[in-house]
Amino acid sequence: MTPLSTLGVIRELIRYRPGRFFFSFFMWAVVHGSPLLFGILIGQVFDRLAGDADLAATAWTPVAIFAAVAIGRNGIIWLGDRSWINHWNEVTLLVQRNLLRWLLEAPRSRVLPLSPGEAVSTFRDDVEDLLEYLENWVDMGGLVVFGVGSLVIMAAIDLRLTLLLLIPVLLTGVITQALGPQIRKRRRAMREATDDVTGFVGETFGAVQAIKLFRAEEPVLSRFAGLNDIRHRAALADTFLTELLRGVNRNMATIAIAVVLIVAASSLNNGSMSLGELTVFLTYLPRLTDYMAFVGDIIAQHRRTGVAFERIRQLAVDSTDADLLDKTRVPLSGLDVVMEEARIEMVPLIRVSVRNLVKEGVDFEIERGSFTVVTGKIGSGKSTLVRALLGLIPAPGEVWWNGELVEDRASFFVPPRSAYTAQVPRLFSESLADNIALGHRAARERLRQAVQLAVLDPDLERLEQGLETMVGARGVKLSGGQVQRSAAARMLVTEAELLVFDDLSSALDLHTETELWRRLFEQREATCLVVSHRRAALERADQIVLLDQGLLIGKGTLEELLASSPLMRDLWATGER
Amino acid sequence: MTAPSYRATLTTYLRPLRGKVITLAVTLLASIGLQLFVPQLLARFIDQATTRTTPVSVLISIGIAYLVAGIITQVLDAISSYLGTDVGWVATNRLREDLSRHLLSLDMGYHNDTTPGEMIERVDGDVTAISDFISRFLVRLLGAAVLLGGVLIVSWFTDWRMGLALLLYVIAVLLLLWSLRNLPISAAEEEREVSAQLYGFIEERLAGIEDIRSLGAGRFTMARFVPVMENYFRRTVHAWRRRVIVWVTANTVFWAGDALALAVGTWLVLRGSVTIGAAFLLLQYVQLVRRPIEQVTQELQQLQKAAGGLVRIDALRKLTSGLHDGDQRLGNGPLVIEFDDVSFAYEDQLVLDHVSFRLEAGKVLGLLGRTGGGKTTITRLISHLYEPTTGIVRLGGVDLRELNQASLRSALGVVTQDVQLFRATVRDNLTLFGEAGNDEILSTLDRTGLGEWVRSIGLDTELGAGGQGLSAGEQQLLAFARVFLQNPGIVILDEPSSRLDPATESVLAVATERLFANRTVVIVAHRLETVRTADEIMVVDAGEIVEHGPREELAQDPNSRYSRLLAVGGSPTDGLLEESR
Repeated sequence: MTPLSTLGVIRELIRYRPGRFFFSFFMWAVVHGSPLLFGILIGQVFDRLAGDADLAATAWTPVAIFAAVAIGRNGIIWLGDRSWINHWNEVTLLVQRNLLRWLLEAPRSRVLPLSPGEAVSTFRDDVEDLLEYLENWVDMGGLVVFGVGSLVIMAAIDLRLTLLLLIPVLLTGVITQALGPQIRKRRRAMREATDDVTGFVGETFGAVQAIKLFRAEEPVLSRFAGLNDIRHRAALADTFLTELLRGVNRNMATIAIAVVLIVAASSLNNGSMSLGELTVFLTYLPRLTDYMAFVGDIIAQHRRTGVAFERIRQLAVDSTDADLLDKTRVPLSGLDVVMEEARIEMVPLIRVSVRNLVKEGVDFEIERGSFTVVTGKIGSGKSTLVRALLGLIPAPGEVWWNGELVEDRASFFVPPRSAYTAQVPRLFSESLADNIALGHRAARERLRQAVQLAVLDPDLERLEQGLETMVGARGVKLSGGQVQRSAAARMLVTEAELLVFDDLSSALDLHTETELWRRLFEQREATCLVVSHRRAALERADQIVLLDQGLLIGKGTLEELLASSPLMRDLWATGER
Repeated sequence: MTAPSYRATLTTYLRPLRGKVITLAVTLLASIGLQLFVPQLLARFIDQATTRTTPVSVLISIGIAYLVAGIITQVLDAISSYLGTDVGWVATNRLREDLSRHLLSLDMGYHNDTTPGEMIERVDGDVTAISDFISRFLVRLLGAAVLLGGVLIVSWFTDWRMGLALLLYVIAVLLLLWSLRNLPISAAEEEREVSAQLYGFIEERLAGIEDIRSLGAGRFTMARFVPVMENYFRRTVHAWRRRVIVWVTANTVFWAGDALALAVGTWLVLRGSVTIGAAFLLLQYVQLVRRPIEQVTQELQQLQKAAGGLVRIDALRKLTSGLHDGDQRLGNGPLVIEFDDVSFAYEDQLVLDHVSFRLEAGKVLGLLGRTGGGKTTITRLISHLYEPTTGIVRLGGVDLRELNQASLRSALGVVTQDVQLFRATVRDNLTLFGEAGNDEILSTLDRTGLGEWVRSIGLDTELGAGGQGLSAGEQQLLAFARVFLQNPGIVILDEPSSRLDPATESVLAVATERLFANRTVVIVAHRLETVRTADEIMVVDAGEIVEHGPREELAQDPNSRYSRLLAVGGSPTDGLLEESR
């Protein structure tokens, strides 16, 4: 599927719930179009008032119609908005749902191209840009109705004058369209400057102890003053441009009205233009320049939306527009969503063979029930190797499961085949039990067993609410060791065949780690692939895979490697006892 | 908040800007005058045109006057808005800086009770509310009020019935909008809350994307996303609808105002009280008061917020540090540390109970004990972040309360467990924004074995928030480097509890050795290995010293706690020394 154009994207979003979109569309066409009537009615009032006494007495009729239309119009605004609010929020969630689903569930390996924080701003800001443009299309009908309508009415009164007025009116659109992106840029600079200031205040008071201890108050304050200054200038630049644009647009309206006054002066005097016709011009022109500025904004928004959708595409690596714009209804009705457990037909693990993974020559095999340790210096590629094996990052090379080539490692290496604990595991702000079970319908007994295996049981005794403890955002309410042990429990509860641990040592003390290995092998037959430089792990290994700068430089038992490799001897000597 | 208090803060910060403030007031008034005048021109034009006897040249000159006056109005409007912003930021940036200086001078007792988030709220949030208050109160609220008053007066003089109708209308609309003022605020709060939940969920899951994918939990996570979406949808829609109510109401009364103006104008023209031009003027004026009415209701809310901010800021400025500052100075080189019957209570809780000890100059003391036992308090008392409730702490024989703070700071270096870092360059983080040059930094660090490491990172490298870009071990190295650059006679080292990789560990070991040479050192240790080179060991528990003596003696005494700890061997952090984050 070829990538959609920006308008194509909008068309797809409209097709999500076309009924609701077009309802809003027609409502807003009425709302934006009705001021045509206001101009005519005001003109009628003044024409009748300017006429003889009999005619003047009939001026009440257009006044009454005016009042009725003005109030009825607000009812329509209210109705149109109610439906549009639903649509806006539902479409926002639709795109966000599709994006998140792609990132979490799509097959094949890929790396999140942005930091999670930056990715969230795509979820929020870029999706909002799409919606803003969609909203512009809701308004579009009304803008055309009023624009064309008012020009036709004015041209019917005075064609030459109307053509002359096109100049300031069109200029408004052109200038807004040109200045709009500038203003957004200044806004962004202002936001960034504000973030810098607030970030610095936060850091300063987070580091207040260090500042006091190092007597750094004055240098810190002068840096603060510098950041304040930048924000001050950014605020001025922002105000300047905003006022400039506002000034230009209002001045265009002023110029247009002045042109009418000057040009129509003689027509009014000789009676070829009535007072009511003059007021039609006076009523339409400010609104027409406003709407023209709006059109200028829409043109700028069109470009912005193209960029925003491109960023969304880049975040969802390898996706097609059809994935991102999938129109399956967003579940919002409060129905109980039943999750089916993905069923995997599995051949039990006998042997995993790795060939040329990441780099040429990285070959090794993992036998059922064995304990394999990947070791090497910092930066030697240990984590990269296991993450490549599991398909978490794209990498060349082949992995074979019982002699069969694994085509898509990312969707293959999941429970019950394999499970993984990252070096810095992430927990989510839910209960500890939910974090550990992670959707695997674990029986209470299985959960308890996993907790015990992961040496998390002493921690649970200390937590007042045990497994029901809410762990806070990213698990902040737990200590580093508790997070790591919970992640280990989360892996063990899957009862996967192959357990992959990426370096437990950063948060587990030696004693706990040794205990974990002991319990694991006592209670079940496990196949383990472990990244570690600790002696506790190395001593237990059936096989050690030794890496240096991403290359495999040795594999075998500890004795073999100690005998053959100076690097291994070095690591062993500095390794923690 | 009383009026004089307002005035005091405002005058302090606005007086230096008197020139700008006066210019601002003048442009504002001129712009308002013109805004009142321009519709008069239109009215005059209409009246002149309807007589059909006025020469065209008069009509044209009114048109030209309209053009000129209109453009000048816009220019003045823009200038006053620009000046208002400028004055607001200059004044409040100064307030921000003064406030930060004052807050930094408060003791740690205050800072331990507040979060950086609260500080952001005080130093930036409240002050920004005041900045808005200055720029808006002066420009918009006063401007809007003057414009409203002007419109009412001018129309009253045109025809008193016209003035009365406008007056009643303005009062009614103000009351109506004022009664709805809280709806959009509560709606905005609700929106912020639910959107924080939605994006919090997404951010957390993206951060854990590998965990989710490798554990096959994608479907589960998407199922968990459903109630989050549902909640977001329900509450956002609810909040938006509340905002729409306010907006539609305002819009309805404004259009009703146009209808009213037409009706009153028609009635007065039919009675022969006013000209048609005046009826048109009324319509123009009703439209002119829309903006100021909106502004008055909005700005009055802003005024409440700013008042709250001023009250809080006033309260902050009245706080003073509980720490003494004396004039005695300390010499260079290692110093004796002495605790003379020191007790320390924090919020009625006794943390240290009559503690006395003496550490000779140049000695290394290993401080062991359970978390919450009082180790950290001892180090904070030495660094004079706290003062003892009773008893005396002496450095080099001088009571800390009589010491000059600056002299104390240069004699004392501290490596804390969590290294406090800024989003700034490595150099700024090393010197804490001080002025030391690259060569000076590198030559000092070369002597300590850290030079090579710092070069490999680069002094100009920008660190991310929270030390992003450095591993935990590297952050420790950076903290060490800070202390070396300071070259103090006393060093307090709070050892990191998490384990470092072997490479960093070995660099750190060399640095530690150099750091301990010819300095008095207190180590808060989490591993027995760290204190293996200490001269003395002190074990603290429940606010008391339960053991203190030369390390070698204690190690040989089989009944000492230290030797029992040594006997446990491989797992020194068990029980007694367990640290949790």
